[in-house]
Amino acid sequence: MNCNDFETKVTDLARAQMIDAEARDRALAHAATCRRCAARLGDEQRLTAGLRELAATFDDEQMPAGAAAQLLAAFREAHHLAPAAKPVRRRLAWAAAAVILIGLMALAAVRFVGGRRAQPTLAQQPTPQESAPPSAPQAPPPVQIPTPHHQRRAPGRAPQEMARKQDGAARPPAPQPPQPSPVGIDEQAGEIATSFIPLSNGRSLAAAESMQLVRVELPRSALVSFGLPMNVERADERVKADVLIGNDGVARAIRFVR
Amino acid sequence: MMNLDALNDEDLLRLALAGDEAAFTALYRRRQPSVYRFALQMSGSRALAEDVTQEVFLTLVRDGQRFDPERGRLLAFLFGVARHHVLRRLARERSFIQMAESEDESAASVGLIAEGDPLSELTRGEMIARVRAAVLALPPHYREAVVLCDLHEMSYAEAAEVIGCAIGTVRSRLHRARLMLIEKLRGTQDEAASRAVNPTGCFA
Repeated sequence: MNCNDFETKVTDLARAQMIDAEARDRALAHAATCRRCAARLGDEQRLTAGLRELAATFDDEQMPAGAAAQLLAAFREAHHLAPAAKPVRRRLAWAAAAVILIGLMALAAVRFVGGRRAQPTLAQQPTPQESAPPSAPQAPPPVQIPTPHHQRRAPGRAPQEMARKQDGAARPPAPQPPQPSPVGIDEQAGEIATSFIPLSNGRSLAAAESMQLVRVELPRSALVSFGLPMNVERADERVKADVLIGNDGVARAIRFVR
Repeated sequence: MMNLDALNDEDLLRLALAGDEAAFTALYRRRQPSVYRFALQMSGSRALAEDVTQEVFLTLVRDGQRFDPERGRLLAFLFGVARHHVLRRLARERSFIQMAESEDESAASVGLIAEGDPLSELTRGEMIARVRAAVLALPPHYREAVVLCDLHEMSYAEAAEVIGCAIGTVRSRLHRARLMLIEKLRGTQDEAASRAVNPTGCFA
C-alpha cells in the first residue's frame, strides 16, 4: 500500500468503520512505516474523538415543551379532531347551559307568581265568600287585609291597567247588579277570566290610587252570589277569583278565573 | 390497546395519517430529538432548529402522504425535509453562525499545544467549542456529511438517502470535510500560537 491508497482508507480507519480486514491490516502496516501517514491517521483519530465529544454535548438539547402542543393542534386541525370539534362542543355546552338557566329562571318566576296568587291574603272585609250562602259546602278561606309590607302586585300589570283593560279606567264601577261580562284571557297565565265585578261597598275603583290584586279561592257557590251561572255538579269544587283591594284594604272588585 | 412503541416509523405514520393522534405523538417523541439535533448541528441556532423541526413535523401532518416507503425510510425522509429547510434558511441568513466563539478567548491555551497535535492538549471544553465552530464553518454540503456520518453516526448509505446523492459522493464529501476540519483546527492553533507567547519556549 502506498500513501495514496492509505489516504483512501484513513477516514474509515479512524472512524472505525467496517472495512476489509486485509485492507485494514495493510493500511496499518503502511502507517507503521510512513511517518506522514501515521501523523495523518493520528489527526483523523483525534478528530473522530473530538466529533464524538461534540455529538455528546447535543444529547441534552431539547425542543421547548410548547412545540408539541402546537403540532398536536395542527394535527387535530388537519384531521378535524378534537380542537376543531371542541369549539362546537363548547358552544353547544354553553347553549345548553343557557337554556337550562333560562328554564330554571322561568320555572322560578312561574312558581313565584303562582305562590303569590295563591296566597289568600284578603282583608277581613266584606268579601264574596262572606256573602256566599251559608249552604256553601266549604268555608271560604280567611281573608286578611294586606298590610303595605305584605302587599304584592300582580306581575307585569298594574291593577288599574287590568281594570282599565277589562272595564275601562275612567268608568267607575257601576253600583248596579253586575252583568255577566265578556270574558278576558290572561295571556300571561293562559287563564280565562270574567270582567271585574264591583263589590257593593260604594267605593269607586277610579278613586283608588293603587290597588292590589290578590288571587283567592272561593266556594263555587260564590258564583251565584254575583249572578253568575254555576254548574251544580261541581258545586263542591272551589273556584279561583282575583280580588282588587284598595289601599285601605277594602276589596273593591272581583273577577272569577278559570 | 396497541403498543405503539413496538411499531416502526412507517406504521406509526400510517396510523397518524388515518387520524390516530397517539400514533403521531409516539412518532414525534421518537424522532423529534434527532431531527432537532440535526437542525441545530447544521445551523448552530436553537431558534432556527426549533422552527425547522416544527416545519418538518407540520409537513408530515399536512403532506405525510408524500412519503413513499418504497423510496426509503421515514427517518431519512424527515432528515431530508429538515435538510431542505435548514439549507434554505442558511442561504437566506448566510452570516448566521451563532455558536462560533471568539478565537481570542483561549488563544493562550492553544499556544501551548504541541505542533502537529491540534487536539490532544486542548481541554475538553475548549476542544469541543473549537470543533463545533469548525464544523459550523464548513460549507453546508460538507457540513451535512460530517453531521450525518459523524455526529449522527449514519452509514454512507443512510446519509446518501438523506442527502439524495450517491454513496460515493457522501464518502468523498466526508473525506474532504474531515480534511478541512483538521486543517482548520491546525490553522486555529497556528494562528493562536503566532499571537501568544509560548511559555514553554521561554523556559526551554
